[in-house]
Formats: sequence, structure tokens, C-alpha cells
Amino acid sequence: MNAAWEDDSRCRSRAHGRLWLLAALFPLVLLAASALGAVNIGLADLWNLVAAPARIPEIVRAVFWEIRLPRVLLAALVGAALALAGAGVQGLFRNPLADPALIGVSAGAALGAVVCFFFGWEGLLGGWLLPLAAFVGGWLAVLILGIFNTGFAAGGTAKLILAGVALNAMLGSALGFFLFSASDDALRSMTFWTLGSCASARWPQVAVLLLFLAIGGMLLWRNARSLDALQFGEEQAAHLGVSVVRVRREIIVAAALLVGAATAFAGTIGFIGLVAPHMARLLLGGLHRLVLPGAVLLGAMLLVLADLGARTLAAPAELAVGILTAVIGGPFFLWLLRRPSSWSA
Amino acid sequence: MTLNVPSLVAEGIVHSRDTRRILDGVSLAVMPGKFLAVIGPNGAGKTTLLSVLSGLFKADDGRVMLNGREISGYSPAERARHCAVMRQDNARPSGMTVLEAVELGRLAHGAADDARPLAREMLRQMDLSDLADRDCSRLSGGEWQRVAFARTVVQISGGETAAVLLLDEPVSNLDPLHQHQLLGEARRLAQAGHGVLAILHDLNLTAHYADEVALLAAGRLHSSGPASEIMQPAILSQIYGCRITEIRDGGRRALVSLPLPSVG
Repeated sequence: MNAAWEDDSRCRSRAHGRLWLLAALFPLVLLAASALGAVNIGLADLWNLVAAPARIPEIVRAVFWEIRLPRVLLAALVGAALALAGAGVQGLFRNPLADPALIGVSAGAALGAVVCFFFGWEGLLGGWLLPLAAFVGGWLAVLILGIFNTGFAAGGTAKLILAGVALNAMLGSALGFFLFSASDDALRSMTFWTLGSCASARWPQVAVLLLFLAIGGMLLWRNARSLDALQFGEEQAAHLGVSVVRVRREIIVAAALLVGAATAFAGTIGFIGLVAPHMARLLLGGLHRLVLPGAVLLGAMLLVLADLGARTLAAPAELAVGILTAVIGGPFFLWLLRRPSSWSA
Repeated sequence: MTLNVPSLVAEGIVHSRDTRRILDGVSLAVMPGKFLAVIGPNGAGKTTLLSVLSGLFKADDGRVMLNGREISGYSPAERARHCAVMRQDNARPSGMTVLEAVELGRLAHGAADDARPLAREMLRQMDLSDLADRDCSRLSGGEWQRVAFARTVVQISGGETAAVLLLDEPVSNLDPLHQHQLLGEARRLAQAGHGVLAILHDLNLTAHYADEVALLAAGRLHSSGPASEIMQPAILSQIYGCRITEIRDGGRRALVSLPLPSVG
């Protein structure tokens, strides 16, 4: 009997150990991605950039501080935000195929951005109109979904998922119309945007996204135990003391903030929101106090690596990062799925 | 709290879904210290009644009082501290151990609550300690039902005041030994001062464990009272529409349902 208890704590401590391992891996990935690129920076030079900047050529300093570092950090934040939103939405819907895109925010953001390109407004407001339009588009989509779903209060998640599918289809039509009617130049920008890119990264974008990640992350973290209880079903969770409607609203708001902000700066990037949370579950088990931080780390690392590939594989040309997320994450995910029992004793 | 004040009272509950009236003026009381069984044919409205009693569904008419206060006035967390419910449709999570699932029974008790020792003690009482670190998705249907019961009991244990336990067919997947174990534990909780309501189908278990029985048929309360009065072959045969007789073996009696004579 006592042996069983020890087993349990061993099993959990192993999950905690894996989370720490991910946390230790994360700075290494950041470091590697900061060093590699069009201009390779050696490890010693990376140190000197901070400790003795005078020894580093002006141009390398500029590349690192103004381009490389903000880009790596933006990729990390975008990946973390998408994965976090995915973990929340999958936990809420208890559906392994649930994707944050399901609540319409990605398609709405894409429509906002595409409208911007269509009218040639993407440079307005010092380039900030484009992310703003995408963010507002994403939020309008979620708002419409909420109105048709009586404020996310009633009808259960099955109806919400179906409404999301319908909304996505309608937004897809509108998107198709603009793509179809656009000029060749605009079409190229639109296509590139919908494949995702972290190339627009500057410090202000990084700061804004960090703020959104903090807010969304806090909203999800405070509902972590409720998300655990929701795995028994919404009615049973209500009997355990979960305010189901409030939790549902907070998760959806958090997902919309996270995905809206990430998409605004990096375009639509698929796969990470769907798969990073699953990776976290396979490695760490199903408790959301482990899944949420695990998804943050995995999503961030996946996108940093994908973005590293995007800017180095075809250098000096640049690939769209959306093409690479699945190429990098897919094999890892399949490997995780293949292993018979990744986490439990 | 004195023992003759009901913990949970339903008065004249009317509940309709679409145009169909599922409950039509049902009144009953769960008394502290008593085990109340709700029986009746399929579709009689038993599970709907449980949803209304637990505050999940709002009654179209009538009211539900929990410890003297209208149940709709409770916040979900406050309600969960006074009234624990074990539902039939209880999804089985994966990536969560049995111990962690039982600990979630303490969700409404806040972060400072020491859930782990309570959950372990409950697992020990239910002979589930060996399963503590098993993933919930790998349990059999019966094992999961016992875990769900353990979680439901942990939800109200250690409290100062008597609580209410609502169980929807808690033994439907269990072998005879564990049926007795679970219902025995439920009765022990009643004897400790809690009010217990269980929806049951097995007439013998009902007769053996229930202090009182409420017989529900077609959305109405057909009769209610002490188990010995309600569990009579004549009444049950009429309600269930099949022949139910009583056999005696020494001092014990058992109820047996016989199939209808085959047609053709």
C-alpha cells in the first residue's frame, strides 16, 4: 500500500523533472537561435555583446540587438501564446482536436489583415494598422460567436464547436473573396502573411506581446484546477464547485487575447496551438498546472526552431515559418505518440 | 443542527424540457442521518430530479432548499461544500491518477485545504489504495465508479456541519461485493449524520440499505415512506409493470422479479 503511494509520488516527480528539463532546454534553444543566422555570432561574441560590446563590430551589434534578438524573442512569445491558448481550449472542450482557431479568432484576424492588404493600408500608422486590424478582426469574430452562443453561457461546448466551425467557414468565404479580387502584389503579401512570419519583430512588438502573454497566461493559470475538474464533464465539474460559465468565458477571452496578439504580429501559424499542448500532456500528464507551463516552453521552443529554419535554410531568401512548424514539430510529435506510455507508471 | 430538520427539501418541483413535462409536482426531503432511495422505472424522471435537487437545473415551479436556504442562492463552490453529487455520466480523464482525481473532490475547499491526506484516507477506506497511481483512463468501469464515489465522499468529509450526498445509480457497474461495500459506506455516512439520497434500481439493495424510499413514476411521486412500507410486492408490481414477488429464507426476505408470460 505504501509502495503504491511512493510510486505515485515518483511518477509525479518524474513529470516535474521533465518540466524542469524543458525549462533548462529553453535558454539553450534561445541562445542557439540568437547565435545562428545570416551573420553567425560565436558563443564568445554573444558573451562579449553583453560584457564587452566595444570589441564587437558595430554592424554585428546592430544585427544582434535590433534584428536577431527581438526576432528570436518574438518567435518564442508567439509560440508560447499559441500553445497556451491551445492548452486552454483543448482542456475546455475536452477535445483533442480542438484548436484555438476553433473560436474563430485566427480566421477573423486573417480577414482583418487581408482587408488591410487589399486596400494597401498595411503601412499606415507606422505599420501598426496591420496588427491592429488583425487583432480587431480576431476579436470581432469571437464576439460574433459569443452573441450567437448567448454569451458562452448555455448550450454546452458541442454547440459552441459547431458554431465555431460555421463561423470559420463563413470567414473563410470572405477571405477567399478578398484573395480572389486582390491585385497580384497584394495577393503575394496576403499569402505570405497567412503562412506566418516573425520578420516584423522589433522591441515594441515584443513588449506588447509579452503583456498579452502575461494577461492570458494569468487567466489560464487561475483556472488550472477548474480545467482539471472539467475533464470529468461540465455537469460533474459544476457539482465539484466550478463556475462553469465563468471559467468558459475566461478561457475563451484568454485564448482570444493570446491568439489575437500572436497572429497580429506573426500572421496565422498553424500546428503549434494544436500539437504543443498534446506534447505537454504526453510528457507531463494531464494536470493543467503542468500542462500549461509545459505547453508554453514547448510552443516557444518549437517556433524559435521553426523560425531559425525559416531564416537560415534558404538564406539569403526567407521561408514562411508556417511551412516549417509542422516539418519540425511533426516528427517529434509522431515519436511521442509512438512511445507506449510516455508519462504514467 | 437537530436531526429532524431536513438538509435538502424539494417542494412541488415542476420541470419541463421543450413541451414534455418531466417532473410534475414532486416533493421530498432528505433528512440528516437517513438514507433515502429514489426508485422507479426508466424515464420516471429520477435523474432530472437529481439535477434539480443539486441546483444544476432550475425548476419551472417549486423550490429547493439546502440547509434552509434556496439552492439558487449558493455559489457553485459554496454549494459544493454542502452537497456532493455523483453523476452517472462521469467522464474519465486521461493523464490523471486516481489519487489526483479524488483530490479534485476538494476543489471547492480552496488552496489551503490539505486534500492529499483526505484523498489517501478515502482510498484506503474504499480498498482503492493499490490503484492510487493508476491512470484513470486505465480503470475498469466498476473501478472508475468506486473512484468517483470516493471523490464524492471526500468532497464533504472533514466538514463541521452535516452535508448532503446525491448519488445517481452509484452501483450500476459494480459486482455484488462492491455494491455492498459502496452502499454500506453510504449508509455509514448517513449514520454519521449526513443526508444521503441514492437513485437505485436493485430492489433488494434498496430494501436492505434504505431507511426511506421515494417511488417515482411518470414524473410524479407515487409514494414515499419507510422502506418496509414501500417495498411491497403489490406496489412494485404495479409500478414496474412486471410481476414482483417475495421469497423468504429463514428470517430474510428477498424480492424477485419474474418475466412476463411470453406471448405467442
